[in-house]
Amino acid sequence: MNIEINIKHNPSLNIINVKRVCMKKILIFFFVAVMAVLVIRLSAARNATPQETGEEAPNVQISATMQDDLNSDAIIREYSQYLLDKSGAARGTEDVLVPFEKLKEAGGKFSIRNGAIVIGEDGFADISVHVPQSGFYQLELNYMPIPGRSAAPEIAVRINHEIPYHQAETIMLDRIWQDKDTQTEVDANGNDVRPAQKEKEVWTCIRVMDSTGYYVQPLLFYLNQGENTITIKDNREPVLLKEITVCAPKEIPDYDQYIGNFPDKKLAAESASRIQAEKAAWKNNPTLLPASDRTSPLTEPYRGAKISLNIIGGYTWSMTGEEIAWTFNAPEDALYEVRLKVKQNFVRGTYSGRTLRIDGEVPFKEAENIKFFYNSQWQIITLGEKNKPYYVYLTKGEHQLSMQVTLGDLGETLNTVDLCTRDINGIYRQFLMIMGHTPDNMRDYKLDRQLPEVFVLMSDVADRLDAVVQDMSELTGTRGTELLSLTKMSMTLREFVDKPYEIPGKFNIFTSNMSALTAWKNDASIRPLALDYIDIAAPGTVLPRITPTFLQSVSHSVQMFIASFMENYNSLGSASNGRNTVTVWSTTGRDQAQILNQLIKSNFSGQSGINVEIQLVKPDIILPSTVAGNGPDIILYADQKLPVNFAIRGAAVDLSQFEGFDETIGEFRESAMTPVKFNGGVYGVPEMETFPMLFYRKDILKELNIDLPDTWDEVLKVIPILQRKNMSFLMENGISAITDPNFASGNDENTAQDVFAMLLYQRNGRFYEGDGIRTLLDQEIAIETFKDWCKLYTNFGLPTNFNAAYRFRTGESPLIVANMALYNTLMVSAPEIKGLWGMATVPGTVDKNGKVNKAVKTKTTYTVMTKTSKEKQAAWKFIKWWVSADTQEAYSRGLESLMGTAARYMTANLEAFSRLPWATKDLQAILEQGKWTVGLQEVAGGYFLPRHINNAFRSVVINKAEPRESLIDYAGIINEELTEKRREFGLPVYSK
Amino acid sequence: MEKGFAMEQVILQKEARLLAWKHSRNPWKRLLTEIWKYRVSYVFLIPFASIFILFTVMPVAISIFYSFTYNNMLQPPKFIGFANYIKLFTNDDVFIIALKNTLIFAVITGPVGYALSFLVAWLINELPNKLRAVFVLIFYSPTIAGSIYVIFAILFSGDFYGYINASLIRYGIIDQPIEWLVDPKYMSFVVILCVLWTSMGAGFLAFVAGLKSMEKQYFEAASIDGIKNRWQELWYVTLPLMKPQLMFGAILSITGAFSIHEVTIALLGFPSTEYAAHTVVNHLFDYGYLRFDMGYASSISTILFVIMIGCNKAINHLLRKVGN
Repeated sequence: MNIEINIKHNPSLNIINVKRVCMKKILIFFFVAVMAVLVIRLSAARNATPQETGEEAPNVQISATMQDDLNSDAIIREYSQYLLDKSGAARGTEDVLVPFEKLKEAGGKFSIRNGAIVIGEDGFADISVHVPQSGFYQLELNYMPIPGRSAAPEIAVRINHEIPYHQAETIMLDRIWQDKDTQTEVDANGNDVRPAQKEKEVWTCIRVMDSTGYYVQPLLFYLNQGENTITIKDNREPVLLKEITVCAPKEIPDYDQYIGNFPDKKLAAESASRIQAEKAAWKNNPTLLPASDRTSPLTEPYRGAKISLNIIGGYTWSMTGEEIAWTFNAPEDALYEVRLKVKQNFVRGTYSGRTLRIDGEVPFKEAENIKFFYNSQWQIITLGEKNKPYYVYLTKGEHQLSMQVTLGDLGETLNTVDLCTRDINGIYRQFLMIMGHTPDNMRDYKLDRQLPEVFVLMSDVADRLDAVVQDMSELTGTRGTELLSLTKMSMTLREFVDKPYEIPGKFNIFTSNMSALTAWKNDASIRPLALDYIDIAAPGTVLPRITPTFLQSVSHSVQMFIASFMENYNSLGSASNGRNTVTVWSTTGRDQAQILNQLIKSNFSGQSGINVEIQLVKPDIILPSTVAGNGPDIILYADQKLPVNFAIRGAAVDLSQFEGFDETIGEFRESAMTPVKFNGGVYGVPEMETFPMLFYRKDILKELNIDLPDTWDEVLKVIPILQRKNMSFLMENGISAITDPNFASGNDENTAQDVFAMLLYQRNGRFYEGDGIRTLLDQEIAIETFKDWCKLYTNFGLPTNFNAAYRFRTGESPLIVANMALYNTLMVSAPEIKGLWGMATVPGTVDKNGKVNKAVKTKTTYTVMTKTSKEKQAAWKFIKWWVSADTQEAYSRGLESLMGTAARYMTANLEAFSRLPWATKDLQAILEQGKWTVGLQEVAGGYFLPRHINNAFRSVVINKAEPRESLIDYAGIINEELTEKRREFGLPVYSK
Repeated sequence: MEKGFAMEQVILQKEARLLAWKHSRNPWKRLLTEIWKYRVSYVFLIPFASIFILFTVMPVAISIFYSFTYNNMLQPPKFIGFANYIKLFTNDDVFIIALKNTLIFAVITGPVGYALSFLVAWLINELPNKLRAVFVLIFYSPTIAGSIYVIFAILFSGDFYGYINASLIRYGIIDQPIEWLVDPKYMSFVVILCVLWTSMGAGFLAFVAGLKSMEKQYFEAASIDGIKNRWQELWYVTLPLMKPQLMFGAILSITGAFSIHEVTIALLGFPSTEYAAHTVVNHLFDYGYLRFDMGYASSISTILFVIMIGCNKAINHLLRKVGN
C-alpha cells in the first residue's frame, strides 16, 4: 500500500477569480487528506521501527513545565502606563527602613547567612512594610551578590502579590569588579596585557532602576497606607540582602540651587593630580576593560608602537547602566572644575550621555545627563555650559567620581520605538496570515474590512513614530538620514491606512522597513565613549594640549611604520627560557587567545613549570605545516574530522595512554567522545559541543493557541495550523548551499545531515556498520526515515532556504529547530522579543512502547596532540588543565566579560557548562536535550556521507526523484569510497 | 721574460680550447661556449631565472613527480607508476563530469569573456579621457574587490526573500522560489554569469592600455591607403598592432576559465549538488585537501596543465591569423 500523493503545497496562493477560489478549497481539502494519510503512515513507520537495546530511555518531563511557562506569560503593562493609571497619587514623604532583624521574619523561600538573607535562584521573600501614607515610593536595596559567578543577579519586585509593571520583573543588581593587579602586566613582547578582573565583595546600596535604561529615574512603586507586602523574587544568581528601605522619591537640585549652597566657598588654587581613566577604582561590568589608543602621541601613557593600555571605554562602554568609578585626592576644601579628555567618534547625529556622580551622589541635575557629541578628534570637555564652567565643591581628602552610561532624555523615546516595533511585528503577522509572503498585487484583500483594529493600530503607531522623530530632532539637534528609517516606516504605515489596496504591492517595502527600524533601534541604544583622563582642575588653569605638534606627529608615524615590520602581534605567551615549551596553535581570534594566555599565566605555567606559546594561525595551514614537520604540539579548536583523519595517517597521538585520561574525559558526554575514537584509540578531547534545540515564540504560540510540540506527530499537526496562517515551521540547514564562509577548509558541517541524523537516531538507526566498514543507509530504517524526512519538504512544503533569526524575530516562524548557537544570536540581535521566546528539547519520535526518543547529533570541536610533538607529557598536562571544568569555566566567563553574551562559549565540559550564567529554564532544557545527544563516528572516507546525503535529499526535494532509489544509489557510492579508503589503510573491507 | 711567455702560453691554450669547443661535435660543449660568450646577459638573467625556476618550474616538476606516487601528505610518498592516471581515465566518473564542466565553462566564459573585455575596452576607448577613467574603474572593480562574487549568493539565494526569487515571484513569473544554487538545472548558469561578470580583469586593462598607446599616424596612413570603415580599421590596423596585448589577454582568460574553483565553492558549496558544477580544480581540491590523496591530485593537475598548454598553442595559432 504505497500511495504517493504529491501535491505541491503552495503557501502563497494567488487567487484572481472565483475559479481559483474553488481551487484553493480543493487544495486545502487535498492538503488535509495528504496530512491525514501522512500521519497514519508516519505512525505506521514508527511502529515498524525495531527497538534495538533494552536500555531505559530517560523520559521527558521538561515539556510540562515549558507548557506552564507558555501559559503564564501574559502581556504585562508598561511602566509609563502604570504611572498613568496611578496618576494623581502623591509622592511618599518618609523613608521606612526594613533592617535585617525584620527582614529575616519575612515569609518565603530563602536562607539566612551572617547578618543577611540569601535568596537563591527561584527563591523569594515576602516582606511586610508599614507605610505611613499612600503614594509613590522608591526601593533602596542593600545587597551583595554571592561572589564567584560572572552574571549579575536579576530579581523581580512584586507589590502585594501583583506584578506592577513588566520593568519590575527584570531588575539587575550589578556586581562590582576591579582589576586584579594594580600594576599593568607586560607580555613577552613588551605589550601591555589586559588586566584580569576580580569581583569586589562589597555591600552595595542602590535604588531600584529600570534595567533597560529607558527610564532614567529610579522606578516608582505605589504603596497603600498601612501594611504592604513587597516580594523580592530571584530570577537568576543568588543574592544576599541586608536591608531594604522604602524611600521617598528624591529630587536633585539644579546647578543654581547647588552652587547657592556654597556662596562663600573659594575657588581652588591647586588642581588634584590627574586621574588616568584606565586605572579605574571599580566598574559594574567586567567587560569595561582598559583599551589601547595609538592614534595620537598625546594619549597618556604613550609607549610608542607597543600596545599601551592608555584609555578606557569605546564600544565596550556603551550599554546603558555601565558605570566606571575612579578615586582621587582633593588638595583643599574648595570649588573645582571637572575636565574630561574624551573621544566620541562612534555615533553621529546623536550624543553619548553619561551621569556623573561624586561620592555616589549626582551633585546637580545637569550632571545627570552630560552630552558628548560626535567629534573625530580627542577633545577636552569641561563640565558646564559654554564659557560658564560648573564648579563642584570638594572637601580636602579622598573622593570618588563615577560615570554611568545613560540614555538620558532619549530613553523614553527609544522605549516607544521598542513598543512600536513589537506592534509592527504584530501588524506584519496579521497581514501575513491573510496574504502570505508574496501577496498578489492584482487582488484587493479588503484588509481594512477584515482587520479594522489593525488599521487603528497602524495610525496610532505612525503617530507615535512621528512623535519620536520630533523628539529626537529636538533633543539631538539633528534631522535627516539618521532618522530616515523612522520617517519611512511612519510614511508607509500612513499610506497603508489611506490606501489599503496598495498594501499587497508594497508589502516587501514594509518588511524591509521593519528590519531597518530594528537596526536603527539597535544602533541608537548604544552610547560609546572613550576616555583618556579626568582632571579635577583649579578654575582658570590652562587646558592641557590635545593636538600634537608637527614634530610629535611625524615621529609617531615613523615609529609606527618601523614597528609594523618588527612587532609580531600574532605570537603570545612566554618566550621560552629552555624549560619545556609547548606550542599551541589556535584558529580563533586574538581576544580568545589572549584570554587563554592570561589563564595560562595565572593558573598553569607557574604551577606546572611548563611554558606555553600560543600562536594564531589560519585553519588551512595546519596540515601543510604538520607535513613539513613545523607543526605545533597541540591544535585547539580542531573540527570534528581532523582528529581521526590525522590518526589514520599516524599524525595524532592516542591520548588514552596518558595517566589521568579516564578522569579527564569523565566530565564530558559520551557522545562528544564518539567522533574521536578510532581503532581503540582516542585522538582528541572535546572543547565545545553544540546540538539542535527547539526555539519557540511564546507570544505567537499563545495567540494561535498551539501547544509546544513534543513529538513529530504533534509537529505534523502544528504545521498545517501555521501554514494556514502563512507561517512556517523551520528546521535549520535544510538545504542551504553555503557550507562554510571559510571554505578553504572544505568544511561541510552545516549540511542537511544534522536534521536527518536527528530523525534517524530517534528511530535507533545508525549510519555505519561496525567501525565504518559500510554504511547502513540502504537499510529499511534509514530508507523509511529518509522518506519521511523528504516528505516534510515535498508534501508539507517546509521552506528549504531561509534566514532563521530573521523569521523568528518577525514571528513568521514561531517554531524553529536550530543549533543552540542561535541562542547567542537572538540574545544580542533581537532585544525587541526579549522574554517572548524560549528553548525546549526538539520534537521526538514515539517508539512502540510509547516512549519519546529525542536523540540529536552533536557537533564538537577538539584539542588534538600531534605525533611530532617532542613534549608529549607536558602537552598532556596542558590538555588536562585546559579541558578541566575550572579552566573551561574561567575561559568562558573571560570571553563573555570581554565580548558580551554574544560570545557565550558552549563548553563541552558538563560541570563548567552548568556553572555558566544560564537562566534556569534554558539550562534545564539544554541539559535535558544533552542527555539525548549522539556522536557521529568519524571513519575512513567519512566525508562522503554528508555529501551524498545532501545529494540524495536534493535530488528528491528538487528533482522529485524517488526517495528509496535515490538513497540506495548514493549508499552504493558511499560504500565504494569506504571500501577504497579502507583498502588504502589496510583495514578489513566489507564483503557480501 | 719567462713569466710573460708562460702567461701567453696559458692564454693561447685557453683560446685553443675555446675554439676547439666551439667547433666541437658535442652540442653541450658548443652551448657552453655560447653561454660563456654572452655571460654578461646571463648574469642579468639570473635574478628572474632563479625565481622563475624556484617558484614555477620546480613546483610543476614536483607535481608531475608526485603524480606517479601514492602520497597522503602525512607519510612519505610511494612510487606507483601510472596507477593514478589509469584510475583517472578509467575509473573516475566524477573526473569525467568535472572535465566536461570545465570545458563547458571554458568554452563559454573564455572566448565570451575575452571578446567582451575587448569590446568594452574598444568602446570605452572612444570616450573622453576623464570619462574613460571612470568607466575603466567601474568595469575593473569586480576584479579589484576580490571575492565580491559572494554577493551573487545573496542575489540568487534560494529563500523566497532572495532578490532574484522575490522579483520573479512579484512579477508572477514563478510562484515557488527557485533553488538557484542547489538545483543542478540552474547552478552552471549562475556560475557562468558570475564568471563573466568578473572577467574584466588584467586582460581588459591591457586592452585599454594597448588601445590608448596606438599612434595616430597608422590610422591616417590606413585611411590614405583606402580603409573604408571602422571594421576594416579594426581588423587591419588596430588588432594587428595589439597582438601582444591580445596574446596576454588570451592567456589570462584561458587560465582563468580553466581554473574556476572558488566561485563555485562560494556560490554552490562544496561539492555542488550531484557534482553538477564540479570543475577539474574542484576535483583536485577534493582529493588534495579532503581525501588527503596528493598523488592523485597531482595527476589531475598534470592533466590540467597539459590541456592548458594545448589551448595556449591553439590560441597562438589563431592569433597569428589576425589581420590576414
